[in-house]
Amino acid sequence: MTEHRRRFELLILDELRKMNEKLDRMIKIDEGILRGLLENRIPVEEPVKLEGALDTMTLLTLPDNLRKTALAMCKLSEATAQDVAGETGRKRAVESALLNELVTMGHLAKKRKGRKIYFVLR
Amino acid sequence: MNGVLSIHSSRGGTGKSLIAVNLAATYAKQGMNVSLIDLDFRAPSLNTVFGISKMEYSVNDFLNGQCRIEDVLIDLSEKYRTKGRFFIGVADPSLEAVRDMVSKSRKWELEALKKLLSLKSDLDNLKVNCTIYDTSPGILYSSINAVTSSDLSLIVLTLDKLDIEGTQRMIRDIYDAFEKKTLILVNKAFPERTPLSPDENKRMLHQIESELKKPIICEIPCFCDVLAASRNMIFTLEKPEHAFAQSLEALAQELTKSMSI
Repeated sequence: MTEHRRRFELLILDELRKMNEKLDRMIKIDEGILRGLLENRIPVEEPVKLEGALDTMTLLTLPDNLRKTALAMCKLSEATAQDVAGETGRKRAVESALLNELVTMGHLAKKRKGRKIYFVLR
Repeated sequence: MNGVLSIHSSRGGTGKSLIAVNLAATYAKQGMNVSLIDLDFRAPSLNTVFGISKMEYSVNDFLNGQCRIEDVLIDLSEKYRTKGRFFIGVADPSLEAVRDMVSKSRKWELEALKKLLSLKSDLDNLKVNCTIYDTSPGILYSSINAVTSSDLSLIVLTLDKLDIEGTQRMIRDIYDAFEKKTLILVNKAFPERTPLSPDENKRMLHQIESELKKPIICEIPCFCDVLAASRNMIFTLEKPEHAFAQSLEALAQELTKSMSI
């Protein structure tokens, strides 16, 4: 009985060792695949958002008051409402409202530099 | 200060490039530093007019961000013995370049507009007094970008009904939208040898002005010998006594006032 039990335990141990080896191989394969994926991963390109681009045809679709502001931004690329007012000859507060409308429409973005708010072409 | 003039038309064949070349030559002859830039990328012409077969850089390269405007400009003042500097910037006439320019994205067109808007100050640094854009006819990105970035636009038209109606639409849709200072030049107005009576001429010009709601700066008759010269001659430099050259001198004077240069 003891002999039988000992042989049975050896068989189980042998099976467990084989399973262990298999698992080690599987882990190695997974690590290899993971490393390969990390090293050779293809960057997923973000879709280019063209709706925001202020090209001349888009400028033509804007209402007159916004077009003037948008054209000034094409010239300045990055500017405060005060800079745009200097370009259009209108008041800073008027330009600020129009610039924010262009931000809402997706044509411009806003960023803060110190105490000043800059508008940037998308 | 550098004044930028765009020369445009609603259709091809109005004489836009001929006017641009002779106007630029007139200014250079008078002692102004001039740059004449070919922005007609579908049908470039300055390379043919000035016999330039090889160029290191073209206007296409400048707009593609591959070079500076200084690299594009070719100085012709020695060749034509002009008092002022006579720069030209040619567009690439190769099929590959034409195909490339007609398939640009909106994002590229925005970058091109930004480059043209800052070109004025780039040319100021080169002590250029006057820049002339020779544009593509009709409503195309390149021509609207040129019109938008210029101080003054000159629309060249003939008395063809299609020309007048096309110009009327273009003014309404583009020029008025951008609040552009615009002048009209009536070219090939009447045969040189059978001029209109002063009354008929006045009536004709008045009618065009009221239809287009823009002032006519001058009218130039149709000269057979100018057409026969087939671009082999720059009249304002080589035949200054010719009536066509005289008309261009008068036009140059009027435009100088309008651009305050």
